[in-house]
Amino acid sequence: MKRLTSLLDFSNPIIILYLVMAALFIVLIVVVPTFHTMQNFNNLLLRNVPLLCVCLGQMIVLLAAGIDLTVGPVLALATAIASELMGHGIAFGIVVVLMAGVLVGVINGLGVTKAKINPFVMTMAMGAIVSGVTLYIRPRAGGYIPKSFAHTVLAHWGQVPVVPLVIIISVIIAGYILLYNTTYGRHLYATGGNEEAARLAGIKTDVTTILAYVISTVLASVAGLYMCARIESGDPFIGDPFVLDSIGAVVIGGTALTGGRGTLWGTLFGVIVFGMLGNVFNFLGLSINWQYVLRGLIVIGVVGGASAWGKS
Amino acid sequence: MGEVMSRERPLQIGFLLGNKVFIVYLALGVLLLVAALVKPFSVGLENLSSVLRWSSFLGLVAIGQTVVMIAGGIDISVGMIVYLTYNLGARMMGGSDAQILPTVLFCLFLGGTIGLVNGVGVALARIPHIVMTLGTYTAIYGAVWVYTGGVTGGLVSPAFKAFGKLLIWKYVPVSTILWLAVCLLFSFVMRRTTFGRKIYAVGSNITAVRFSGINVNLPLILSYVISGVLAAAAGLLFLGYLGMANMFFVDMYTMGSIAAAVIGGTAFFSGIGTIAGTIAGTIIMRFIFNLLVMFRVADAGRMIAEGLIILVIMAFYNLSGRE
Repeated sequence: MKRLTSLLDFSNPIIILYLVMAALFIVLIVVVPTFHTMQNFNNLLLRNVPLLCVCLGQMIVLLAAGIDLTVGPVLALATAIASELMGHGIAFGIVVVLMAGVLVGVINGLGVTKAKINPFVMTMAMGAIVSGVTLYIRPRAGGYIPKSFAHTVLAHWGQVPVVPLVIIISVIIAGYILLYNTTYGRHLYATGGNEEAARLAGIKTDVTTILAYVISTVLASVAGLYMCARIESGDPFIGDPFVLDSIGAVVIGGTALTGGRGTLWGTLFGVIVFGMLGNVFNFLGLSINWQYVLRGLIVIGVVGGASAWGKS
Repeated sequence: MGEVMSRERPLQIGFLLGNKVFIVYLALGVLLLVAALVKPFSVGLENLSSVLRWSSFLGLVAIGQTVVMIAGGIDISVGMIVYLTYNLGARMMGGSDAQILPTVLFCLFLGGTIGLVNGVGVALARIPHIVMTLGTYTAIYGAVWVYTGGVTGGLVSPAFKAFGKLLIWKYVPVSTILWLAVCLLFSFVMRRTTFGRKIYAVGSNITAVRFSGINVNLPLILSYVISGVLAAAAGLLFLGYLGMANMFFVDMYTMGSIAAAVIGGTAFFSGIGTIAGTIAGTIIMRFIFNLLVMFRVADAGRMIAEGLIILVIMAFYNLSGRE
C-alpha cells in the first residue's frame, strides 16, 4: 500500500513516465487506427520479451551499485551457442547457453568484488572478450535452430502468444519476489545503498554483488534463447542495441546509477516506454537511422527532465 | 578552504602519481623487452613507427578521456565523434585543398559543441555521465547515417592526404608529433594551471569543492569540450592518413581510450590520473594490437586479447595494492 501511494507522489520522477505514456497512448489511439489492434499488441509483446529480461538483470546490477555492459554480448553469445549446439539436442543447447551465462556473470562478479576492478571497466573488457568468443563461434549470422524449439517458444493460443506471455509474467513475478520478498532483495538494496554499512551489519556483500551479476547474465542468456527462436538463427551483432536500451530504460524508470535505489515498477514502465518507442517510430515512418538519433536524445531528455523535476 | 586545498592537494596527488607513472613505463619497457625476444621485428623502426602513428589517433582521444575521467566523468561518445569527423571531413573537403581549413575548423567546432552538450547535460541537468554520453553516442551514430544515407562518400584533399601520411626523418609521423605536442600542452595545463588543479579537485570531491566556493560546473563542462575537440581532431588525422572515409568503422576508440587511461593509472571518479601515464597506456594498447596483427590473430582473437589485457593489468594494479 505504501508503495502504491508513493507512485502518486508528484515529486517522484516516475510520474513523468505516466504522463508521457498516457499522452503517447492517447495520441496513437486517436491518430493511428491500426495501433490498438490485437495484432499490434501481440507484436509489441513478442518484440519486447528480450528487453524485459535484460532490463530486469541490468536493474539488479545497478541496485548493487554496478553496471553490466556485457548484457548485449552475452545475448549475442547465447544465440551463437544455441545456433551451433541445438542441432545436437535442444536441452543440451539450452543448458550450455545458461552455463555460459553463469560463467560470465561469475567472472564479472569476481572481478568487481575480489579484484576490485571498476564495474564499468570490468564489464567493458568482459564484453569485448565475450564478443570475441561469439565471433569465433559464429562470424556472421546463420546456423541452425530447430523448428520445434522456435514453434514452442512462440506458441500461440488463438491470437494470444501464450509462451511469451508466460515468460513475461513469470519474469515479473520472479523479479517481484526476489526484490521485495526475499532476504536477498533486502541485502541487494542494502549493499548498493551503503556497502560498508551493509558489511558491518553482517551482510555478505561480495556474494550479493556476484549473484547480481550472475542473475543479469543469465537473464541476458534467456533473452538470447528467446531471440534465436524468433530469428531462427544465431547473430553475433544482435546484442548491440541492448546496452543502451537496457541502461536507458532502467534509468528512465528511476533506478539510480549510484546503487540502492530503484523499483521494479519503474523498470517495467521504462521497458514499456522503450518498447513502445520502436513501434511508434515505425508508425511515424521514421527510418532506423532517425530512430537511433531519437533514442539517444529521448534517454538524455527524459533522464535530464526527471532529475530537474526531482530538484524542484 | 580554497587556500588549503590548492596548497595541499597537488602535493599529495603528485606523490601518489609518481609511483603509478613509473610502474606504467616499467610495464611498457618489459613489454618491449619481451616482444624483442619473441619477435625481434616488432621492435624494429618500421613497426615502432607504425605503432606511434596509430598511437597518435588513439592517444589524442585518450588525453581527452583522461581529462574527463580526472574531472570525475567518463566520455563514451568519443568513438562516435571520431566516426563523425572521419566521414564528415571527407565530404566537406570534396577533394579541394581550399576546403581544408574550413573543414578542420568546422569539425573541431562540432566536436567541441558535442562536448559542450555532454558537459552541460552532466553538470547542469545532472544526467549520469554514462547515460548522457551513451545517449549522445547513439544519437551521433544515427545522425551520421541520416546525413550520409549510409553511403561512403567525399574525397580527401591531396594536401591533407599528404600531410596525414607525412614522415619526418623517415620514421616519425607528423601526427605523432602533433599528439605529443598536445600531450605536453595538457600535461602543463593539468599540473601547472589553476584550471588543471580545479579539474583534479572537482574529480576528487565535488561536494567539498562546491562548498569551498569554486564553480564546479565550469571545469567539468570544459573537460568534456576538450574531449570532444580532441576526438574530432583524431578523426581528421585518421582520415588524412587513410586517405578515404568509410561508413563501416569499428569503434575501437571508446574502449581503447578508456583502457589507455586506466592502464596509465587514471582512476574512475576520484580525481587521480596523469597525462604521462596515459601516453604509456596508449602505446601499450597499440603495441599489443600491432603484435597481434603480426601473429595473424583474427579480429575475434584481438578482441579477446584486448579484454584480457585490460583485466589482467587492472587486477594486477588493484591486487598489488596501488589503488
